[in-house]
Order: sequence, then C-alpha cells, then structure tokens
Amino acid sequence: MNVSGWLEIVLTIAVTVVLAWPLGAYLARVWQGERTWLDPVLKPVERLVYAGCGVKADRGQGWLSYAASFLAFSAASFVALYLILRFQDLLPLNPQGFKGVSPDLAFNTAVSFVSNTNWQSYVPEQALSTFSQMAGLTSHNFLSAAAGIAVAAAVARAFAANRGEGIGNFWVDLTRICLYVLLPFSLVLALAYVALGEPQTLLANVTAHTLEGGKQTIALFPTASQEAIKQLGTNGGGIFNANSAHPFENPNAWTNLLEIVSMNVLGYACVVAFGRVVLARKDARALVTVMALFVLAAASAIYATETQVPPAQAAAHVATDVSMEGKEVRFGAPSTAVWAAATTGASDGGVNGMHDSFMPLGGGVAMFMIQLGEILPGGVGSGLYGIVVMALIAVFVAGLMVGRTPEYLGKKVEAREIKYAMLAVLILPLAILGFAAVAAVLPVALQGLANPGAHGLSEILYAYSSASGNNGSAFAGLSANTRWWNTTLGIAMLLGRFAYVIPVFAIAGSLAAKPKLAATAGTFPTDGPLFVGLLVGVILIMGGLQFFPALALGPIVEHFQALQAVAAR
Amino acid sequence: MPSRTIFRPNSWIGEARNASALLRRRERAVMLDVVFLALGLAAFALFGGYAVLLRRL
Repeated sequence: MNVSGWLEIVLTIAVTVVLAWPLGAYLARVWQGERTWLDPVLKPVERLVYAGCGVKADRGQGWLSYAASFLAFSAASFVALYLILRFQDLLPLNPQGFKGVSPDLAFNTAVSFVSNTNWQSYVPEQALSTFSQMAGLTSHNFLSAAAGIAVAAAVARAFAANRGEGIGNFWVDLTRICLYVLLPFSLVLALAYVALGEPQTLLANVTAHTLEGGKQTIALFPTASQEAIKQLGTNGGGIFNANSAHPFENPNAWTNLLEIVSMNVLGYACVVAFGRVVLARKDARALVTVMALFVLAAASAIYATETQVPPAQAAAHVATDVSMEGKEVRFGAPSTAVWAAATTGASDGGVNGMHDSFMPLGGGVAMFMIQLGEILPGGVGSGLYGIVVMALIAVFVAGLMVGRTPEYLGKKVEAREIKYAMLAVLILPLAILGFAAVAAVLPVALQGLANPGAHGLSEILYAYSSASGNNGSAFAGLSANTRWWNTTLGIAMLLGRFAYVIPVFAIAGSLAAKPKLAATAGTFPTDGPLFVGLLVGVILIMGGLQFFPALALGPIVEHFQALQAVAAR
Repeated sequence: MPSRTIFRPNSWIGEARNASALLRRRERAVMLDVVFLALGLAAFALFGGYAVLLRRL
C-alpha cells in the first residue's frame, strides 16, 4: 500500500461522483420530457419512432400496465436474441464461420443480456459472430439498460405524484433514454476509446508474425463501440474472454480510468435525477453518499488485502510487496481494487483482474458487494430503485423505534409498501442461497468446479450471486458452459431482475396514489448524517444476516486455511 | 466378418446411419429449442401473473 494507491482510489470515486451531477440534471430533463440540447436533432427521430411503433406518447400508464410493457418488451427481446444466437451461421457478418450456439447456451446468454446481467458462459471471440455481437449483444446492452433506467424514472414519478395514478409511459421512457442518453454518450465514449487505441473494425482477425518467426492470429471486433455501452449501461459483457484485462478492451491507464468512471457515473446520475424529479435534492445526496461510502470501503478493503504479502510467499521467504496474481500488471493493485469494488457494487460485471485469484478476503469483499443487492451505486436504474427499497425499510425501522408512521420524501410508508419491499429483497437470498445449496451437493454441478473445498464453495456462491444480482462477472474456476449451469444461472438471472422489479412497480403504484405530505417537526429527516448512518446499518445488517453464514464457509474459512497451512510448515 | 463388409463407413447403409444420426441430433436440438424458449416465455408469463397477484393483494 502507498499514498499514490490510496489517492488513485479516492480520486477515481470522487471524479465519478462529481460527474454524476451534471449528468443527473440532464437525465432528469429527459425523464420529464423537457427540452434538451439534442432536441433539434433527435426530436424528429423520436416522433418517427413513436409513429412507426404506434406509441401514443401522451398516454400515461398505471403501474400494472407499465410492468406489463416492461415484461412484454423483455420477453420479445429474449426470443429475438435466442434466435440470433441459435442461427448465427445462417445470418450475415460471420467472417469467422461460427456455428449456432447450443440451445442451453442460447437460453443463458439471451436471458443474461435481456436482464442486463451479461454473464458469459462462452469464450466470445471463439463462439459468437460479429453479427451476434453487434445486432444481438450490443443492441441489448442499450435496450436492457434503457429498460432499467425507465423503471427508475417510473419510481421517481411515483414519489413526485400527488394522488396520481400514472407513472409514465414505458415506451416513451425507453425511446427517450436510448435516444437522448445512451446513444449520444456511447458515441462520444466510443470515439474516445478509438482515439485511445481500441480497435473498431469488422475484420475477423489480424495475423501477427512473432519474433520467434511464428504466426499468431489475433481476433478483432468492433471493440470500442461495445466497450462504450458495456460500461455506461453497466452491462459488463466483454467482446473478449479476458474482458477489460484484454489490451484491446482496455489498452492503457486512460481507458482504464474512463471505463471505471463510466461504469458508475450513470448509476449515481439516476439518483441525482431522482432527487430533481422528486424535489428532494438533499435526500438524493444522502443516497449518493451511502453508495460512494460503500464503494470506497470495498475498494480500500480489497486494496489492503491485495497488497499484503501472500502467506505462502511469506513462508517461502519470497520478497514481494503485493499479491500480483490476478491483477493487470499494467495497472497494479489500486486500479484493480477500485475496479473490483465499482464493478461488483454496480452490477456491471466487467473486470480488469481475476476475482478468483484475489486473496480470499479480497474476493469475499467483491462477492459481498454483489450480495448487498447491487445498489452501490447499482446497475443503471436498478441501483436507484434498489436503494429506494432499502431507504423505505430504513425509515420503517426508524418509525418503529419512535412509534410514528414512517414517511419517505412526503409519502407515508405503510404495511403494504413494506410487504412489497420485503418480497423484493428476499428474492436475492432465495435465488443465491437456494441454488448454491443444491449445486454444492449435486454431482452434475460439481463437475464444473476447478477447486475443491472452501474455494470451490466460493466459486459456486459467486456464480449464483453474480447471476441473481445481475452482475455478470465471473469468479473463474468454474466451467459454466454446461446444461446445469446455463439453465440454473439463467433462471437465477430472471429471478434477480424480474421477480425483484415487480414488487418495485407495486410500490411505485401504491406510492403514486398517495397524497404528497409536507414535512412536519415529527418527520424523520432523510437528508442528514443520521439517515446515512441508519441506511448504511440497514444495508449491512440485511446483507450480513442473509449471507454471512455462507461467506463464513467460503472466503472466510479459506483465509484461515491459508494462514493455517503456512503455520503448519 | 460379414458385418464389416456390410457396415463400411462409405457404404449406403453407413451413410443412411449417419443421416439418421444427424436427423436425431436435429430433432433433439429442435426439442431443446422448444424447451428453452418455453422456459423463458413461461417465466415471463409467471412474472406477469405475479404482478396481477400483487395488484389484487
């Protein structure tokens, strides 16, 4: 550990949070249908989309109708992507001559990209054609991210409404978020990545002649454009198997910084936009503070563990200041630590290091960040509605302590909302622990494991955490391209995204119909340090109670096993 | 052995067996396609039903 390392971590997070403010202000304008600086160019396109798709832009939807649109859109996307992947050999832009992927892999991948998870059970450069990557995966990177942000917009309108019924129009939200936010910012990012050295080509590969006289065939893809939306939309699915540890996806320190910032900035910006729409800017600032504190704490913890001398090396008297296994040697431990915290807190899933190779506690921290619910700052849109659910639980707990009906942002929080909130938060432990428990004893599942014992359990636990949390990063060490893993991880992804979001819609519908109350002397303030502390406590206690026993059997026991093995020498 | 003569890989019986195996593989793939597409669509239908259930609570 050194000062420059700590500074890198703090500055990266600070830059991200600062940039979220102007982006959030812009996003709020998009959510509210206000004029933006892109209107002269994009307004005609927007009208054309509505006319072409038969969308009545001025017609609002109730929560059930909004949810039905969200589900119908996702189901249609799932079928389309499934068919693209299965029949890629019959489709254009397949210079590599890849066959269609297997049915179970197509299911897993289609669910993965529709649910904004981007878990990849395959080696992308050896399995998917350029058409599948562009028309299949990259387009869903936009659409699934936009769908998540649309839900966040609906939740914001619910809090802003005063005895209102509608929470917006899903099709309008989807169109505007794609057109005004994701497309233009991705375009700018893609150009920046090209300028910084990332390839953007339809060529299949390039042949390099090595110094030894050999030939090396290096896969090429339109990398920069996918990289842009991969991070901005918290998708995380790489065009190469090594993800952002691959020099084409992440060629230098500038792209590394840009990728970390872009994977978190829209998540924070959603909260800032929420504050503007609900007229609760200070409350939104409190939520951003909680999110940033968690990312800082996680990055610090990973940096601390990854800069300790590994016990086995210490015992062997190998001189080293840092455990470099699993780190990107070009960027070092601090960059890997802050990336790992940002990607696991954000449901992004892109990696610039291998979490499986972290020290046990470092990998455990990354896993715990996912298990906390992907709300720190979470996926685009999903982070906002996830932290709002936690905030409702926090004010409910505070209300129980003082014996008052809790309120949050001018809305009374009653038994109905808390029941919905609990239905939402219980989905993650149900999917993660349920599937992990079965996989830990089934031979068909254990065949895919590369490691026995505690580390093997960590690999299982991480896989289901990543899938259920819609994160998509892999712990490695698990051969997941089997029918068991593809099917169960696919179901976990579906539960983590859609079984979570349905109660959130119900909360939005319930709150939208309630009157907006003015704050009184008895209202618990939700914009100060007391609320920040309470929310941090609620998130930690919920996550701890749900997952600590499982973590104790995985990364924690592995940590002590490593120490014991060295002591026994 | 007579069977070696009859079941040469390049004999018409061998080709028919290969074609039959290919057909079986394709049938199996189609069946799996139906299963996985149905699984995904059934999940979305269940989520829709869940939303209706919550609305009535």
